Amino acid sequence: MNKNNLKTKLANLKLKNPVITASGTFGFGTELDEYLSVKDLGAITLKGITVDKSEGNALPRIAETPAGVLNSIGLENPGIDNFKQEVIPEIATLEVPAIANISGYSVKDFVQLAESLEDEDCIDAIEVNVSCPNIKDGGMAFGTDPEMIYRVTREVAKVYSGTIIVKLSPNVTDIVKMAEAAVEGGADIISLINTLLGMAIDIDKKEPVLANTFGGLSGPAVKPVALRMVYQIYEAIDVPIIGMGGIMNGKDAIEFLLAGASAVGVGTATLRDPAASVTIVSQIKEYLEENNIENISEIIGEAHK
Amino acid sequence: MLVKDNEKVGPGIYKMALESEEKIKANPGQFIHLKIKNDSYDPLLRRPFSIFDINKKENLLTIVYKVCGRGTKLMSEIKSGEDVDILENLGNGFNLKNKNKNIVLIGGGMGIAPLYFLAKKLSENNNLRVLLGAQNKEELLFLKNKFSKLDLKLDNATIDGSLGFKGNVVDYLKSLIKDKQEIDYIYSCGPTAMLKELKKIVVNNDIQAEASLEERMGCGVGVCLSCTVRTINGNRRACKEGPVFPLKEVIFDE
Repeated sequence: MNKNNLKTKLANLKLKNPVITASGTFGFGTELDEYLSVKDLGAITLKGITVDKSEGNALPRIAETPAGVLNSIGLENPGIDNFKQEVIPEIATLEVPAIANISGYSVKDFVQLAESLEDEDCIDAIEVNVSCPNIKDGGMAFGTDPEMIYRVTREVAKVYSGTIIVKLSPNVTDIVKMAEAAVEGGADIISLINTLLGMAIDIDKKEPVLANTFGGLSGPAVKPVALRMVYQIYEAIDVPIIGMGGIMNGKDAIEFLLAGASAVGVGTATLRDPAASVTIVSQIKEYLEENNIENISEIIGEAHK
Repeated sequence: MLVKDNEKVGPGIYKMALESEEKIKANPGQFIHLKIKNDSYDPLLRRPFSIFDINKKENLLTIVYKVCGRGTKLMSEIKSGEDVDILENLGNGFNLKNKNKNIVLIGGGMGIAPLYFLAKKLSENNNLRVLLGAQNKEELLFLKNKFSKLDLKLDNATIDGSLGFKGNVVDYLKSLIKDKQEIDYIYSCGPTAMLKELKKIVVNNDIQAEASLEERMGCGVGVCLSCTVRTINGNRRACKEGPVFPLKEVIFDE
């Protein structure tokens, strides 16, 4: 008997449990070996990659806010060629599904990235990041326009035959429109939310704390917004959802599952506790045990009455 | 780790001794990442502190910190006997291979903290001179007294002139170089502006030097890329490849 079964299925992704690391908080999968075993996770999402190598934004890139963090890393990454040569061989050795997160400054960039990952067997899905608030062109500019979300997704779907996740930005007036556009373009899974655009000001220096002025807010402070958006799109679309935004513990994760997410992303929690993601897996399991729930699938979307 | 004591040792300056159940392995220049509250998400992130001293016999690790924000303010209120969550042995410390050399240690402000642990190690086999800089005498008193018990030559510099050389510690180093003081190697830690100035001096005088950088950190374990340091070899993470870097390799913003 499969008691307290944590298995979850999202499109073609079969995960042993619903916990996925969020992009940009888990490096390329091997950095935290000292603190956890990646095979205990449902899947890992890799640090976002762009076509060309990127040095990222100026420092300071991080600022703490009440129960939250602002970041403006700016997608520092080795670029797709180095990623394929140096990172992919390492990923291939990991016993966990891996999701590559791709970011572009143009539709062409997204297509090129998706195309070059088409034959990489160790990449189980791509997450199309139309929502990074920290790059000047592209990124969030795509993610706030349903027509652009549709176009990017459709063009990526033409060249990539594997599972496509589209990651949405919360910096929009109507999240449902964005989700619908991604699904129409061919998204197999929707993940949300990316960070909320925000800022902090140093009152002694009388200037913004972040060198980039604005940054993306994450952590417990954004959880209610993220949860609301997952709840809203669950009613509107038929593809599975990866819910994320301030998930710090098993209780938070359960809330997202009840709101309609088939899996959850854990991000900022890892910056506080490197092993947070695996701790959350065991806390979800405890919840199932305590509530006599046989399969996690039973609670997905249960909060909708 | 268990907080053994947490006492005020200067204006807004505290010394916290932590007791570990396991053997402490840390090297000078490495840091710990301390979670201020276990039961609250505010403050959310840990705070990094370089190691001031360790006592292997008693399994004690000591940090010295200055209250400069909400996190450190809350830290200063932690009582003896409380448990704090710590990530240990983080980053790469100072090079300890130097022997029989004329070495100068330069610390500015709280950047002095990791140099004490380093001085204890290096003074065994080297001719050590230590230059400490701070705003005023009160800020320097505790640290200066600790160094003065070691086998080394100690100089102090204060901006207001209340102790030792009047001015910043890098200017004091310049005067030593002008007086033909022989220096084989420099170790340093302090604010970025100080290290930037120091880099010019070591480049101009062709002195080998390494510095521990104080960058704002997120995770402390190499995944968030908040503490990126620009070097001639490309971007490096202060928390992982650093915090200690060969000073000539660090690229400071103009």
